[in-house]
Amino acid sequence: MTKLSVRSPITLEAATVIRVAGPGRDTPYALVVARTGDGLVLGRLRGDPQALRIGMELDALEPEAGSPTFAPRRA
Amino acid sequence: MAAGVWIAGTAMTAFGRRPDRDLVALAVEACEAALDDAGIDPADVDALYFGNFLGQTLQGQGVLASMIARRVGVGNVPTTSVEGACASAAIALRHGRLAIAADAAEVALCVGGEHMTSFDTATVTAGLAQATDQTSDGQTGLTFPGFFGLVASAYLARFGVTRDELSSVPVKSRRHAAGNPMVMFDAPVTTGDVVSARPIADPLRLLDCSPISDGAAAAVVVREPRPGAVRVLACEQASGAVAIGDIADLLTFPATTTAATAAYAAAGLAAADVDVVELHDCFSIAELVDAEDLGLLPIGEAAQATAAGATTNGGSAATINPSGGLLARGHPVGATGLAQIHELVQQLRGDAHNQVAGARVGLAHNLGGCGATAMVTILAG
Repeated sequence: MTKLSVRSPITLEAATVIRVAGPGRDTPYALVVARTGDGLVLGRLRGDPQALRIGMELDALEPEAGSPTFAPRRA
Repeated sequence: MAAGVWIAGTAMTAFGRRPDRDLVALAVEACEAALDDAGIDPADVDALYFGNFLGQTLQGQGVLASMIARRVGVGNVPTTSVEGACASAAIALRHGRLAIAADAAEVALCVGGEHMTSFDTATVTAGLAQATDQTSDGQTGLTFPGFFGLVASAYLARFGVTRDELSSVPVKSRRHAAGNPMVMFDAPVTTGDVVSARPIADPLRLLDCSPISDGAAAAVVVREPRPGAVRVLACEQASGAVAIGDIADLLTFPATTTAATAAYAAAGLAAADVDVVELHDCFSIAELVDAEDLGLLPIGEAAQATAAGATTNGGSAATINPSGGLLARGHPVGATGLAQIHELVQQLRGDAHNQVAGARVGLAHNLGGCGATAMVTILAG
């Protein structure tokens, strides 16, 4: 099952913006893989994908629609 | 496994948009051509194995193996459909080989097929996403282009690979496929074409992605050598994680490394002994990860090696995807594993469209899901 809460530290392992998806889903949307204290976690991104850099720190946000959600850590 | 197992004949239909044939008709066409290539009568077939992923989802049709068997005329032999996402056809071959080795059959007909182009992209993308873990990753909206977009972003960052170096994969694939009437795309493309193509899942663009396709391929597996037959030295399957949360590293597929290790051991060979490879380049980035997982190129160096021409026919390493691979040939997912075998048999006979000079050992790699299953088959001419 999806891990909805994860342990720190959380860093960005991979990111993509999906521009072609299945029925009923609006595109584009961004997904990230975060390396966490619990291993790799796939989640949604809140924020600007252009601001992402692999290896940067992320914050875990309140899950959205049952999915882990991350955002770039504010300086 | 002590018993010898040989591939006596193979065939594939032309891949691409095939509105002229439905799924069963494509599979029957491949079966009949493979039996003709083997010089074996349909009545001599003892078992039929059919690899397919989306038939029940898109066509709404089960018992496809029996439908194909009736049309081919093999009689009331056992028929089995196997599903391993994009690795379904190679798994069908493995079952045929096991039946021969177990003395349960003397002739096994293995076939794979898919018909996808009569459905819109969103429907096919959703169907393919069934090979991700729907209890976890599917909730986020993960698609296959999305998964490999994530892999590509991690690979480029970790190894300092440029977008142009990644583009060398589809450029090579199209070069290898040039003029081949059996493939979906045989026109050359440039690096500029790749980087300016429509974005699909960053950093992947349209020409980084294998196309939605129709087609079928088949192989006839036998116990005794015949003229033109190719020996199966190894045909190994392994499984791996389905959900990203169970993956330790995005840049390796343990199913591939496990199957490859077993295959090299069974064949008594090493990666350096392989002359020609058909591997699972469902996306450009997959070719790089696969080549490293198979031990064909050093970890982190596959992009630079590909860009330098090492894996192009005539290059310094084993030739990778002389057929054009999934990127150029097309990827009717249930057929791909046996289309790879067909290409290798042609190579080892010296009859391939893009012949690798002196090819004696061939390796096929077929990946299912996000590394949920993998097949590695080694053939010798």
